[in-house]
Amino acid sequence: MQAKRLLGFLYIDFKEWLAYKYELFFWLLNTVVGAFTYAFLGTYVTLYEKELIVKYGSFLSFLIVGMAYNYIIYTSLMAPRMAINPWNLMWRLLIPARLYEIIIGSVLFRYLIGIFQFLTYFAVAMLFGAKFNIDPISTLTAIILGVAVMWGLGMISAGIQVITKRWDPVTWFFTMLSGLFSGVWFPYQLLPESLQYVSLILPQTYILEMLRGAMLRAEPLTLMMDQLIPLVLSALITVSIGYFIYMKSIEYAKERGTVGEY
Amino acid sequence: MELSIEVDNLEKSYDKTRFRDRVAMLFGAKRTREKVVALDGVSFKVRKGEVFGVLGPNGAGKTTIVKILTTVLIPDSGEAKVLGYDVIKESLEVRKRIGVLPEDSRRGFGWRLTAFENLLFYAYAYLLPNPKERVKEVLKLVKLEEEHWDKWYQRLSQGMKQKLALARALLPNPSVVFLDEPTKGLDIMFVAKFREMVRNKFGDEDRTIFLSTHDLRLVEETCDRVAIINKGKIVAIKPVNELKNLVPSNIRNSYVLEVDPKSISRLNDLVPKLKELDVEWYQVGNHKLEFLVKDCSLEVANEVLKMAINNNVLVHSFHKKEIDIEEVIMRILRGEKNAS
Repeated sequence: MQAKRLLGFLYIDFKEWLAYKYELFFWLLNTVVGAFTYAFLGTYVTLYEKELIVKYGSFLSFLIVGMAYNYIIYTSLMAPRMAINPWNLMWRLLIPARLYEIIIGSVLFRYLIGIFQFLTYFAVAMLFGAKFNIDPISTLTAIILGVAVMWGLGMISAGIQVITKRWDPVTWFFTMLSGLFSGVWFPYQLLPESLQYVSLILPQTYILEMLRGAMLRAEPLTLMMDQLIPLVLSALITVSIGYFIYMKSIEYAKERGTVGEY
Repeated sequence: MELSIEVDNLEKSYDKTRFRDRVAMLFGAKRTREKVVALDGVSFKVRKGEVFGVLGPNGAGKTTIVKILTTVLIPDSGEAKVLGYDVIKESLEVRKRIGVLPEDSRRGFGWRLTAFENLLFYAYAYLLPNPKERVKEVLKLVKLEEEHWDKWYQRLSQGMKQKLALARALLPNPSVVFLDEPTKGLDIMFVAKFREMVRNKFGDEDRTIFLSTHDLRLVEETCDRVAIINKGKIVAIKPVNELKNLVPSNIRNSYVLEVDPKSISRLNDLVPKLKELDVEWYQVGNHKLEFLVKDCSLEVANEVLKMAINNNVLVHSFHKKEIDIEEVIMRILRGEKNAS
């Protein structure tokens, strides 16, 4: 991995971000207003089940972790797709870089602004009295595993899109379901029991559970085996399948001569 | 002889079967695959430092060759090497050493990035030392005036965009430059300078230039050799100055006598007498006589002229037929190739 090359990607994304001044202004405004909106919402809506209060503390802490991480999950899911934008793909494939450098480079800036957003939400939440009790190793593990699983799914999605050009069932499936079932906005345990089975097949549910355990209760990895094992397995499976499909689809596009087509 | 490009028996066809037919075939339905042959056994070699042109009509396979050699398209069979590296197995090594100006050169530029910023990204991506200095150098090389360096890409004129794309191709100081329709959108003043640049191989005598174009003047003035491609097959590869030899001699060496239309009947009266001179071939048009004499003899041609004047034919002009490269290529593409 060449740092200078990644710097190039960061440079153009940053410059292009600055070039759209109105969009930038409203993005900043949205971030701040969004953070305050969720802080108010989290402060005045309370968890009423004792079990959930013990598990997550306040609703505010619960919500802010879910909100902030949702952005990173979404960015990870979209990352491989951003790298194969047909406008740029041919040129990205012409530079002497490996495909993984191109994918990481194409998405690095989005992660940086995601982290900025993440920190803004946390800062505002702390102003409103949210309490975090963080285990750094567990938090980092949860983030890495979450990003890996979503990258795997993202590569499957992008691979399909290289061929179909528009239709992308994977992103649609996981983003549509995550809001309702994975516990971004409210604990999935509040869903009717039959629907909770849907939550348990979504990797986001495990990622968010693990992250909340790591950031709200400072749980060490040894106490999070119920999330850790499914996530490690999911990461291995999705990344392997995703990488295979992604590489094959680029090869397919190179064979059919459709690299630059929409 | 050191080679820059080696292409051996390249074949490529595009599957144009419709998506719904492909899906139907997956479920066992009988459908015929529609294939379009883009390259059909193409072979050639390009020497180091050579300016090599590829000419041909639209859809002949020119861009397909460029895409394969620049590693963005995989051939069905055959082998292609650039600077000794296989374009499929060693594509990264190839990409480190080439510069490309593709047919749609707008791709890969950020529209709200300036000309300078756009190139700076590529300078980082190619891991160039002193990236800013290199960007300045190359912008000066393509004659993009400094006042435009800080303009957003989308505010540059078509010609400036093409110059910027050319600068991007030259940025890594490549050993081989691929130019696909490079003069498209360039203003007349710059086209002349551009021809000069190609002739000078952008300042490096050892640089190889691979040129795919419709611009015949560019080919004529810059290329050492040219390949003519039609329907995926190479029809001819020759040094530019030898291309004319591919056209049958009656076309390339004939004399033309242009006459007043009123004199055409008197011109026709001369036809039987032509055989008495050493005229090997002739053709009477609306108001002209085209003829070929043995050994292109000017003396014999003059005899024909004298005979016409003596027969009261009103002569407008008399000259040796000039055949330009456009006509040569048209005739080669139509299959009028000299058997010799």
